[in-house]
Amino acid sequence: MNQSGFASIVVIIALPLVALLLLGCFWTLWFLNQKKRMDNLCLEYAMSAQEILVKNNNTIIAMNPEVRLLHHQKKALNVLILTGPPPVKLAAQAAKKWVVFSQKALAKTQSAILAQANLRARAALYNLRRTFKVRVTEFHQFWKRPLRRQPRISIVPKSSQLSVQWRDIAAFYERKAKHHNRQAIHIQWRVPGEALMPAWLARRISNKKYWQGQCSTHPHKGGHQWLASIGKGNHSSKQ
Amino acid sequence: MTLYFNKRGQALVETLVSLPVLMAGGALVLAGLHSLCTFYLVDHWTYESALCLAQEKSTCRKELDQRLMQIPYASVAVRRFYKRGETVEVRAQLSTPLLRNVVFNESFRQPLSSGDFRRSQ
Repeated sequence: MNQSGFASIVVIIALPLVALLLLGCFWTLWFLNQKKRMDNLCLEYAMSAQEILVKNNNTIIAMNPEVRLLHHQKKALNVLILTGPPPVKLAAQAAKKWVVFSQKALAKTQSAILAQANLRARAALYNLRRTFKVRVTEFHQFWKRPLRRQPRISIVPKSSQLSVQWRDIAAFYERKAKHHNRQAIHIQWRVPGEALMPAWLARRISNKKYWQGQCSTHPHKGGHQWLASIGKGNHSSKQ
Repeated sequence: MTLYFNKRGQALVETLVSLPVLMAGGALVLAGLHSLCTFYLVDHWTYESALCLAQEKSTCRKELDQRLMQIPYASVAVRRFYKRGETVEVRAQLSTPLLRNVVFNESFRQPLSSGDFRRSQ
């Protein structure tokens, strides 16, 4: 009987300890996996939006030589219209109409590219918002408990890095190269701590506990081209 | 009376024999859990460190070392930690009582794209 009592005591003491240890390890591994998924989710969509912005900014900048050429052509034709003999004047007027038409078409293309880039980038960020909510729903479904507090995600896209240098119907854009002008996207999210644990444990933690994370992307000048990069872009040595 | 002492002797012998076995079993379970947690922690920190390095931060190595130092009963050596040209590579080697020289290698080729972050979805 003594041996049986001793065994019972050992089991009673050891079982909760082993269970706690197993739960701790299981939770740690689950949390690490979720953290990686959450960080990757944030970076995937932020990078996706940044890639769209950078690519379209590059396209706009690549149009600058054409804008400049049309501007100079128009100036030359104006001189001909003012000083040339009547037949040349007529030909110059016709040519000018074509140049103005080209400038208008170019201006429309520029606006379309900028609008499309904004729309697509915002769609990517909207998808992030939606997928984030789905992911958090998965957490509390996993632990089988409703959430008292809602998760939050804040997305702050900075204003465009392109600015109009001069305009002659179509705009000549320059890219603001100083680092504080970078068109970064900052994302911060927070999930209530209660979403990460079973109900009996969540009741014991403070209401103010949150699991927080953030990610950022920025356009980065790599050699002669601009690319989408991760991080806030605070590096001062290389730009 | 003799029977009573016989039983006590038997219990003592059983206890003496079974205690080391129980302790060894317990230690094995603990070591297994420790190795499992350490494995995933080092893997995760190596990955985070490689991402950090891709962002041109100067504190990445220090952060990684500080994190790895926190792990008890494990030796983790950072074998590679560099960013050369377009390649970012972080390699760590882990040894625990149960795991011998497990290598974690995280490398990225820059520029990173949105597709690089879809691997564990």
